[in-house]
Amino acid sequence: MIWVSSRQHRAETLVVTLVLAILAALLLKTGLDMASAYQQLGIGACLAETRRSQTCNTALYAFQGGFSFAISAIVWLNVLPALLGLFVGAPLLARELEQGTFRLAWTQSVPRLRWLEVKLALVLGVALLASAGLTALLTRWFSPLRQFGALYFPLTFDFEGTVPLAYAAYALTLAISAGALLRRVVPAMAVTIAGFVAARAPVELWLRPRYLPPITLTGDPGKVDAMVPKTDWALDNGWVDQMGHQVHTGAVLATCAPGQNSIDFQGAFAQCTHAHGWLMSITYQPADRFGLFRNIETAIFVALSVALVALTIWIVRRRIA
Amino acid sequence: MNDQALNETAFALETTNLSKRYGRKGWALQDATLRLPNGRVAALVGPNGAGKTTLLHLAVGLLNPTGGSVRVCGFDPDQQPKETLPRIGFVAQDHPLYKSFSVADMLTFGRKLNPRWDDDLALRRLQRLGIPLKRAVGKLSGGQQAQVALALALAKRPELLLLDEPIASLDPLARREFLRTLMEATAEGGLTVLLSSHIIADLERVCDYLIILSASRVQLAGEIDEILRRHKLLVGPRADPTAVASVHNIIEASHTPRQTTLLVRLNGVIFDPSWEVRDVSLEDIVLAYLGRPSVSEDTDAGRSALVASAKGSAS
Amino acid sequence: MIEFHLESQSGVAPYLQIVQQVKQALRLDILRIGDQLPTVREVVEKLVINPNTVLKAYRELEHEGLITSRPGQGTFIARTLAGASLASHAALRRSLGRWLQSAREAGLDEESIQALFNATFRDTQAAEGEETA
Repeated sequence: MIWVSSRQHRAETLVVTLVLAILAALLLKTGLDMASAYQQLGIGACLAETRRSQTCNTALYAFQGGFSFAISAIVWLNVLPALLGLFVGAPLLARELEQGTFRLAWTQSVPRLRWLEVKLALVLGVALLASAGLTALLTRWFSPLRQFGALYFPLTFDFEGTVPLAYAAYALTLAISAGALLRRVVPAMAVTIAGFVAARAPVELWLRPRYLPPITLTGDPGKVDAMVPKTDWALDNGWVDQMGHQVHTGAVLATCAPGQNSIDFQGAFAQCTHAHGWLMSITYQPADRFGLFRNIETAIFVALSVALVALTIWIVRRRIA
Repeated sequence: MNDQALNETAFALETTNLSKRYGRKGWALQDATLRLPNGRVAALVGPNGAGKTTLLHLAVGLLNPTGGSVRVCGFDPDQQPKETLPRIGFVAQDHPLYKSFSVADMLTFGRKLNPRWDDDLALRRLQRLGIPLKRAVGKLSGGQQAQVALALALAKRPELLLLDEPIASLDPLARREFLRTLMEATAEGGLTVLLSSHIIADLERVCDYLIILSASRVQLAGEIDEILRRHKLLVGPRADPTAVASVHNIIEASHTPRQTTLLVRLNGVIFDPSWEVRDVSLEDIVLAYLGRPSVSEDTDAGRSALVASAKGSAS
Repeated sequence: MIEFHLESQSGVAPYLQIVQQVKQALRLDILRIGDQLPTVREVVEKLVINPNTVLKAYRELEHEGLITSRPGQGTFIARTLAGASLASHAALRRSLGRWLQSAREAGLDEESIQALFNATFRDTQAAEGEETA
């Protein structure tokens, strides 16, 4: 069955391998460049300074500017699981069903459930292995950026630990089950894209900030923001009055820092806000929760994957002729 | 006549009140009861939509029954696929193959998925037909693809070979070649064949057993020799068929002002000398059954009689 | 060696056609004692017919003692038909010839002669109380 599966999906496997190889090469190149630039510009020392010197600001500007393209390109890697689903998962069952070759495959000597089991195990196994490899590479790639704290947070969360593997598993199982249900490759692909976005977006944008109730601190500017380490994930930044009611940020800025581009939270600005009884409010998730959050998000997508595998097995067992 | 050499106590395919329903679309197959003895080459004929594909898919485990049961070489194809699948060879309609595979790849496919696989047999057969091993299956002609699909099914060394409309889309030469390959395989022994077709013409020389399926029901099933012997055309002066109908089954009746023609299934002898008794071709028998309105009560008795007589040795 | 042919639409069972063709060949002296019949495989390959058909035909002929099969060698003609070949019925042939001439002189064409023969043949069969076909 291994020969059969790999021969059947030879084309997709080649394309995926090629893409991964190119990606790995690019990551290696840019990663090494970034790491050496980090060393040469002395970014580590700069970030450690409490009050940034002018040279440091220039160095930081140069570093971040130089690699901003690479960093924003990395964001596109979020589509990788979806692509995996589209090109490996969607055709897996859908192509056999669409072309009628399942009537050949399931009447050899291998019962159809065994055939499905082996295929699922192979495809998921290889996909997870590739994801793990890529994740390891990305984790190394991000190490200079991690010194910036949670500045690049969503990225480092999405591409680290078990989370990307869970995404890959979800996209694959979604595509495979869509193929089993719809029996046509193109509709299965459409459902895969829709289903992937429909799960990833709400989870990342709405659920993830709320896995545990976030912590809110209020206080004078200059003091309260110092209480939140830069490694923590800042969710929201706002102003409240003495009674806890929200105050429009625009109003605060207009009153206490009119026409200024950058604000020094010490000094005049802080005195102004204090005089008006306005407090800065920071809502955040502390970094020590990230491990738990990763596990929760992994669990969500693994649970979805398991449910989809069960659905696929049910469909193949009962519903296909 | 005694067919001692053919083992008639074991049946390659046995169905009992086999029925399949598709949701609200109605019954694809109703109450099909069949006993196909080993070693036969059986034709499954009927119009499109009659339930032939459904019956075949139930036999190979691609479908599960709504009611009744099916046994292939003694096993349940739905519940016991591990025992059933190695014993069957199946070529679905339009002989599905992996178009991007080469012919050699298809043989490897078969070898990997079947413990009982005769690679030499397949190779020899394909070589004799002049089918190039390195060519992609998608680039072969329809006839060649059908031959590859057949070679795959036969290389499994099955006990029961099931073919769904294998010759429908083939030109006459390809059709003859396909049937020749099939007959040569049958001559080697140990094989029972069930092939469905909505064309009857080629089947008479190749098949020795007939199953007529129409309106999702089995209309007739039995040995072809017996069917030819029992069905006669009665031609005579214009008459009321009631006397004949009281003893025999009238399948088709037509009248002109001076003449009556009856196609009957005999349950004995015709004594009335006013009837001229003529042989009927298999094709005309099949057409008569297919032309009838949905099954009526009298055919149940007649049908089981025919099935029963097909079980024992016919004389 | 005899070559068989099959009439698909004749209404006569295929195996019977083979039996009849062997008997006809014996009558016409095309097959003689000791001649070998084609193997089942050869017939199947040539005619594309069911091997059981050939087997059944050969079994029937063997049952009637007309052929014998020698394992490893093949199937051979064992004896000629009872009543011998048409050659030994010269007297019958001659009287039939005379009858045919009378029929033609009476104005009957080929089909009428055949119809007359068939009808009379059936009447005599019925009179002897035998089953038709």
